[in-house]
Amino acid sequence: MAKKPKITNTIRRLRFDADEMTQKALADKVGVTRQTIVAIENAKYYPTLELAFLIARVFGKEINDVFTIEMDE
Amino acid sequence: MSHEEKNTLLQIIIGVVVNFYIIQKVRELYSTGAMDGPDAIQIWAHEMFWVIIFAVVGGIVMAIIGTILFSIIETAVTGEADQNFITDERDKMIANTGNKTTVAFTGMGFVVLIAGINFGYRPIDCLVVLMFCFSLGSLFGEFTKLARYRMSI
Repeated sequence: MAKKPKITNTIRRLRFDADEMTQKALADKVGVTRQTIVAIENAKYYPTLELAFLIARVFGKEINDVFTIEMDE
Repeated sequence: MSHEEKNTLLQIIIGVVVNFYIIQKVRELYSTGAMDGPDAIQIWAHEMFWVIIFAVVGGIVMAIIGTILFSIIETAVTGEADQNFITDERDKMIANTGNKTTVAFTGMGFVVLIAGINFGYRPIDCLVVLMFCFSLGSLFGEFTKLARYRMSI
């Protein structure tokens, strides 16, 4: 059986590059709770495509620059 | 802790109180012999009707009081209260998980009701089991939600 792919993200680094943007500030910009941003950063929750696009837009990046899918062989 | 997570915690407290009350009420009805009389279903329905009203109204009141209390505690501990009342996509996903648990319990209660009557148990006893499955299902649904909140941070 194929393993579930893992989606990693660079949100922590992007926040750091964006003047140490807080999780709360990012959450407010995309309209979710801070806890959801924490869960996404820790790869405990995978956002919907809509939210993923919104997060990428906040940092002025393409979605591929923020989220990467890792396929286990 | 997000607003919805706090709400889940409050719903668990309310669920425990309501379940405890239902157990007490049903025990009382059985011990007084009210469940053996010809009007048993009507008496039981009358009691459960008020339990439902109490649970709904009590739930709303407790949610308001709880939100205020959480804000006071948060302000005392962290210096500022989280005024964010957003319900986002993760909350909805977690709520769906909780609902699945609730539906599983209520479905199970319905099957027990049908099977119980089929095997000759009194309908009133089967209705009591169904009611427990409903109220316990609601409580376990909230526990499932809380577990998902705690696991996904």
